[in-house]
Amino acid sequence: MPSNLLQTKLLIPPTRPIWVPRPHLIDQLNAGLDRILILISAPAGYGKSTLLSEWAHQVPMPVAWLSLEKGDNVASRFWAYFASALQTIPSLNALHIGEELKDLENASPSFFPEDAFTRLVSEIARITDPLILVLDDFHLITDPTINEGLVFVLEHLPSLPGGMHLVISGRMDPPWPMARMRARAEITELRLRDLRFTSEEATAFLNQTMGLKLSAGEVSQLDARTEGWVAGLQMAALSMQKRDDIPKFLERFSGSHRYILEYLIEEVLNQQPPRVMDFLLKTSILDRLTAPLCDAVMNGQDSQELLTYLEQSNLFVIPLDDERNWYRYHHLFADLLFIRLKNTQPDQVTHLHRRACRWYEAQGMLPEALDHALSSGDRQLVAQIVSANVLVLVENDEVLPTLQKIDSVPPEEMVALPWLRIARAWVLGTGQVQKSQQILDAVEMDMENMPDSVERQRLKGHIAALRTYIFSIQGDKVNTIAYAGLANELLPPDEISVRAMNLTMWGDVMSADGHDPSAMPILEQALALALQAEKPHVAMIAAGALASAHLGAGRLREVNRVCQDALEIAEDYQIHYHHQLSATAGIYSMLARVLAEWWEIENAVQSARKGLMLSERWGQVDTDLTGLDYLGRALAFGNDWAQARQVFQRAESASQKISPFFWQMNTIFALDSLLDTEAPAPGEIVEQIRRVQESGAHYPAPLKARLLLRDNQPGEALVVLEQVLSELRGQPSLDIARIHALRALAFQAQGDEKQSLAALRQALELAEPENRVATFVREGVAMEKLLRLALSKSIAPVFVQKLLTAFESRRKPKPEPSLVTKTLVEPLSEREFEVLRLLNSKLSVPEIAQELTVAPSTVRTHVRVVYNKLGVHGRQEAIQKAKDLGLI
Amino acid sequence: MNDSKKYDEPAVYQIRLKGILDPSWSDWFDNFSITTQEDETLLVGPVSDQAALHGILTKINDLGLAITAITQVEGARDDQK
Repeated sequence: MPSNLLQTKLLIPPTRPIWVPRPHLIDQLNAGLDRILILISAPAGYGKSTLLSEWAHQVPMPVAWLSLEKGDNVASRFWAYFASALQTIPSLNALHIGEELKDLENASPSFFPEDAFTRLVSEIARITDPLILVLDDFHLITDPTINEGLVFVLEHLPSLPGGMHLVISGRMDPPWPMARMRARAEITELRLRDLRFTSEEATAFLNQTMGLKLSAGEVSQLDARTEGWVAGLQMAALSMQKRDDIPKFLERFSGSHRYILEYLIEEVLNQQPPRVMDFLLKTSILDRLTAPLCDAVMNGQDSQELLTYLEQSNLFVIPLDDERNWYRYHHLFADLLFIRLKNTQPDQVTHLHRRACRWYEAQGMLPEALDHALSSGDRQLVAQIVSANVLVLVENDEVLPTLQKIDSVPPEEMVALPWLRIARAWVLGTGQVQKSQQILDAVEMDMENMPDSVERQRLKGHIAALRTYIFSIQGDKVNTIAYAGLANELLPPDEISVRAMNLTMWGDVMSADGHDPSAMPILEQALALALQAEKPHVAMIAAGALASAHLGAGRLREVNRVCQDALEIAEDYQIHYHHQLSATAGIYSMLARVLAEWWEIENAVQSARKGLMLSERWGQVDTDLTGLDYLGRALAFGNDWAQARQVFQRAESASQKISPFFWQMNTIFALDSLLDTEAPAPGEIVEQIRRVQESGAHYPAPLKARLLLRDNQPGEALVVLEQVLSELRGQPSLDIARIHALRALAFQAQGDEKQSLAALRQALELAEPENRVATFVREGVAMEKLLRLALSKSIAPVFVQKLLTAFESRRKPKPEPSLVTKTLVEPLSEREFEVLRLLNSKLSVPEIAQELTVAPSTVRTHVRVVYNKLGVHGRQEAIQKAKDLGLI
Repeated sequence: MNDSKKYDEPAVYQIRLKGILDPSWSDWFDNFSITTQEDETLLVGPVSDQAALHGILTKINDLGLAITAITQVEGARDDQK
């Protein structure tokens, strides 16, 4: 396997062994470190990347590097890579930059998430050691929200020294307020006139690097014609290397008015042996080169040798990693080669793309395979790739930008190739349900005239499975089951992964509101099919559903086993593909749930965060929400409501966008978790109850009983609990132990010790084998008291002792981060108080500025100071903290 | 507005470049016609809207060609008159 392709984006390109040193430019860059921003702006071929990589290898501070590509011009991807690049610097791992950026990744494109950016800025502002972030090929980033975000970050970063320096390099100036930045002297620029080779550099380059023996006159002739353009000089030198009649070449070259590059590339190529020329032209279709891929495209075996030759001859190949597994052509050179290929061998282009597509497909690198399929113009090939890999494509987070390209396929062709639309519908099904449904309706209409065939049945099966998926997201149990059955009938046996997926949703919805034994064989079959098809993505989803069904039955150890097995599969995948399986998200969340029940709070929080990170990258909203809810619960178990509250708020705004079902589930979870904390504030409870009512949710029995107990109505609570107990009729359920525990509390509140202990005994008997510590500890002081009583009567003494220890450890003050103090170390000034009070309103920063009749930048400074004094990173957090401290 | 040219509709543009470009580049530049005189090149062709125009300009920039002038030579037909 080739080394991880995506990681090459984050590597500082290796320096060239022989190159012209450019000390005056390095000096300029070093001098530029007294500003926040360094901009390198010049057309292709002036040595921008070469200069930066040379500098990056010698500058005495850490450098994070990101080589941008076309596909990165999407906010979510851009900020994900932005975070990954910063995280390559070890000392930044402790910062929450990745998390702050998650909000940006999920922000809707039309709305500027100022809060999230403010938090990002304060995170970056915590960087005190100087570091450099290079964004290379930034001209590819034209998306307005990304640019707006970066400008915001730059304008709000604290002034130097120390902290982050941003280096932007590209062929065009970024669409930023450059005049303002120049006026404030925030920016150092290196432009075309700086990057041109001076005559000394041209001489050194031609006579030393390229080994020519040119006279001063000849050099100045070349320099005049190329105007110091590095790529031009390089090509001219390559054209002359094997020539005896250099003066003649120079004469013709200097006299010609032809476009230099076009002129030179012909000269360069004509100098090459035919097999090198053939290689150059044919591999120009590739964005990146590696020997096995080139062999596949060329139908040859000597690519490694040729790549090495190209690098050694300075023929515009740039190694992307130190091992020299991957290369790319200089962009300009690749463009020209490709134009020439298209002009001379137009019929080859499709073949070459096809071969590249097949190679990538065989490597399991589907995004690249699909890119080449689309570039080949062979729509049948696109359809084949898509239909054979539809689920994997959908579940592969890196393929989304490519799948979005399907939108650029002309509508007529979309009609002719329903698979493209099906793939699109699958993609949309994870977030934009309505659009997905519209596509399905349209495909179904067009299919009416389609002759009966396996193909038709396959399509219909996919459509039914997709509808199953959509209904299951909407929590529509009846329709989910109906369509799952239909899809199961329609899908041909070879559609193993879609069938597995369909069965998963089927079994999942059956066990959604309580344990249903008939769901188990369906889910087991789903998992077996997915494993048989060797589709780890689907296997993760099936395992998640199976684990969830076990959870519903209260079999926590089984949940753990299923999750651990799944993680082993995921690990194999990761070793093989150097890529973390996003679908593992659900497994980590499920594991977090079990760990929380076992009162391994820190592990639970960690596992939930891991799951969240993956699900956010994946873009699966339902998995995302489960992850957030389980994270919130684990945090609440750990008594950290401030954080849990934030998590639930994030979950709530996300869930409202999906369906009422998710929204309701979420508000219930939040309220229940609030009651899990040690001393929930009454006002907070009222607030969470209001949210539950707003979402229209019905209270599940345990929560209802908890609220009644809180209101001193143990009799009512018992009615609710007995009712649900009788409905369960002895079926295994996650809730039973909890219900008995709550009954024990209700009897205790009524002063009925005998009944109370009897109920407690039942709860303990059910809970002990599955180690369900949380069932008791979450109920707080009353339960602790009851357990002490049980211990004195030797009821389940071993387990009870363990529970009491958990109570103890919960009370122990945690080594809290120093920022969470009950009073402010440094008091707020009067002005800062005013700002703080206005932050607790709907006013934006400019509006606050207006209110206080000061400049917005002044307000931002105050805000930063307020955040620092409060030890928070964002507006919501600041308001909450201020309320906690009684400041507002 | 007296401006008879419209900017959100197809129009013909002329782009003047420094240096001489071979006519075989035409399909690279959305089928603009390529003519050369002395030491400069004229690209003339229809663009469907401003976004398409910027696409062409980007390609020119990517190839390191120097632009000396851009003009709209013929606006879209104004049917409202």
